[in-house]
Amino acid sequence: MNCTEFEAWLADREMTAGLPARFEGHLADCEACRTAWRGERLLDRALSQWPPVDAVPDFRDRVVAELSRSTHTVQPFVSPQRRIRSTRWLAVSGSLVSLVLVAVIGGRLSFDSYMSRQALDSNGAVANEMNWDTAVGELLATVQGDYQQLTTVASTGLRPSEIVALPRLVDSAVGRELDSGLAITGPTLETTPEATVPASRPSLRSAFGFLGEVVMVSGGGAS
Amino acid sequence: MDDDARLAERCLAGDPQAWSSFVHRFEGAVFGICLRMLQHRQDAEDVAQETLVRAVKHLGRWDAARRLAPWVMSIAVNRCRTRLSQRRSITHLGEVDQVQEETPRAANSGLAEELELAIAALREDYRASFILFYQQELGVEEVAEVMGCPTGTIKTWLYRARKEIARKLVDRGVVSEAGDELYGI
Ligand SMILES: [Zn+2]
Repeated sequence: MNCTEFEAWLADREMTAGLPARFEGHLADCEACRTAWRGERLLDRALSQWPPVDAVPDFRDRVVAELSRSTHTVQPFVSPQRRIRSTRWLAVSGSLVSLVLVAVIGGRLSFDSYMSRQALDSNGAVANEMNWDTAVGELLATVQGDYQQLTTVASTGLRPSEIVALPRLVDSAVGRELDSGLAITGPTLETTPEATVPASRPSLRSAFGFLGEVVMVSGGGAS
Repeated sequence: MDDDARLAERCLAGDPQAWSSFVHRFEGAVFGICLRMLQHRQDAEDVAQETLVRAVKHLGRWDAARRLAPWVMSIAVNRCRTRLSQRRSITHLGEVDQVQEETPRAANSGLAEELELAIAALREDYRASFILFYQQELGVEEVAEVMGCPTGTIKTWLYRARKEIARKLVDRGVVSEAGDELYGI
């Protein structure tokens, strides 16, 4: 047994698991591993004593009062069944929108199959908000710039109202998402945990995913 | 329809009793995350309130096929990250002094207090993952979902967080009441 093997075991260790006999010899000879093991056991003990934080007086009343003040903005509940139906619908229409954009914008864009099940999963992508700020800015520039061309596409299969409504929907969705602080749930955006700003430009794939979400906004309301 | 979905439906229907139940159910977890992430009681209260209000308002976006708690916690973590990044940019611009950090007051001092100090010193993403896994008892996959990272990354972060905390506990000479023999080999 050596330090590497002990550390590998430690990395996978379930809390409170005791020391396997096979490491006893190594720990007797190795101060570094012995210290690591002592720390690990201290942490076990500390976690067992870790108390919940003290409650905040009147907190519930304050939250409920705040909700009462702003009930008009509560969004309608979508049942799981309805969500599945609307998700299917938006998978189709979101793909159509993207295909239209690809056709219109042509060689400027590289497109791959972005509209995965995961990308539509409402809990699947919790994007860093700062990343979104950047992503959304670029998305808006793209969408608004190409909007005129988009509206001229007559053979999309989308209802004209859906195409015409895109910029408005983008605006309202962006505003709502950024204001709400919730992750925009459609696209899967590369997040960079170490930095708040992505190292590379958000991909157009993200933008397309976002359009899927935009369409969902209209589809959810219409279905 | 399960309890979570029923509660969500009642909340979205504007039932104040349901709001109260919702807040009652999540206030401890949300405030715990906020306080430990932000290390500042007033900020934590503000962000926890903001989180719960936003969660109720946006319950229509929750996927009822999944557990409600991780979804609420993901809003809390997101709000905390935003608050921390706002703090960083304000501090960077030199407009205000560094936020006075307060370590959450532990009900029993000693080892738990040392643990709080060590958690406070962790990197932001390690700290969030550690709190979600060890305090809120989410599974690794749920933590990954909340943090928007692969499970392998979360496992690495959790291990590094544990290692850092363990080293601090040893460096600070923390000895449990059970004595060294508990930790002996
Ligand atoms: Zn060793």
